[in-house]
Amino acid sequence: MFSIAGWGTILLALALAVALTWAVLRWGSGRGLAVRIGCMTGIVVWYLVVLMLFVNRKTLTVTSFSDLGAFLYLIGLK
Amino acid sequence: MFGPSSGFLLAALCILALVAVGFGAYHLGKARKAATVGCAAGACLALIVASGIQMNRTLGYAEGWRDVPSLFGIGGALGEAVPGDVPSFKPGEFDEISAHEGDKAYDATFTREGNVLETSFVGPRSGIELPVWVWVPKDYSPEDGKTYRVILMLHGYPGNAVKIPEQLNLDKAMDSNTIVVIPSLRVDAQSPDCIDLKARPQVATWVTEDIVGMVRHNFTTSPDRSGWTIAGASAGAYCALALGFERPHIFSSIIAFSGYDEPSTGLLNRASSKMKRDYTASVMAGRQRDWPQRVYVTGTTSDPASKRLMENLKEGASDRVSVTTYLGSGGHNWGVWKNQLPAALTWLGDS
Repeated sequence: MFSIAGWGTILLALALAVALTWAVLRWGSGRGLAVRIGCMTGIVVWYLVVLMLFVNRKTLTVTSFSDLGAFLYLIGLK
Repeated sequence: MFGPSSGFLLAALCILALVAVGFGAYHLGKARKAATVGCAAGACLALIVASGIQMNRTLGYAEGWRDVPSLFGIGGALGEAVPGDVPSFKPGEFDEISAHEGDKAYDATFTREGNVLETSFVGPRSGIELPVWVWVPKDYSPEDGKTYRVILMLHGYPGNAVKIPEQLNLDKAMDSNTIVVIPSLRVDAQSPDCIDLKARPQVATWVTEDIVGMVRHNFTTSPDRSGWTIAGASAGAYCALALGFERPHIFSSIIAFSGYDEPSTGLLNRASSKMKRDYTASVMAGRQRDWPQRVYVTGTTSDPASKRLMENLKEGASDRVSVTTYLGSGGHNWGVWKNQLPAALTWLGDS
């Protein structure tokens, strides 16, 4: 259920993304600039992770968490 | 400057993402929720495109923006898939694979970098002009007097032939008696075909007649099919199976890494269900009843299409086609196929 290409992982990641967005919008406005930038960066990065999980569900490039090097290869970091 | 591999565009998109994050933080401070979400979405979008550009800079999937839509299954060649003529020979009717001696159209001039030779070749039969890479053993010389065995290796889609020697670590994996020929299959900006279809570039002729002829002409290779293997990974594996079963008088062996049973690219992918079935690899393996042929097929437990291909080939192949399967672990990537290559070469050497 929680394999890297499984729906469990993807839905959990999506739920966390929505929760993170809600939390930042709810409590982020009263914080300092550095914290707000950190929150925004966190949201953006997390949604990218969710998108990559969706794409990987289709391509099956990576099928276990131990094989994440294949992703690094795709973006030229390995 | 603004192509899909542009460093300038990559940098611009990263800066745009940073600016969007900065504006998002500003709007967050003012409790403007819609503007904050909009900025986050903009930053995400910029980084998605930037990631795609970075990936393309690494792997060279698209040369221009016109190549991009087909990577996402958008557009593509229109029209009906009408198969072209396929040369068919029964054992005894086909003498040997021609070296086209004296025919200057098959001359090729190579540049060498490490163990990889490169040329740009115009197919005398197909008219297709594309680069071809040939991996050769370290001590290879045209005058060394050896007759080399040939593996014709086909890349997948999206894919880039130039990367294959490195992706499969051929320097380490290969023996000193085999050369690996890696033609580009990117005949145009469309999702590629594997077989010859009327009104489309003649890809099968390019691979099995032009490239084979060019290799016979320029390298000391076997005129007999026993010295020829066609191989491929992913969509290239389907192509290797389709071309191998369609032209068994050239290829005695086929190696397919994580392939598909049904055609999944090009015009065949949009063909009628009957035609798709006619060009399903396991159905073609059942039709190939003339020549003895060996097939090595790999898949992984988490790649259902490759598993299905293995099962269907075992079930559907005629008694002239011997199928060996290897089911491993891992995803659908070159790291997996690099690890599967040594066993495939051992199997090949056992013939």
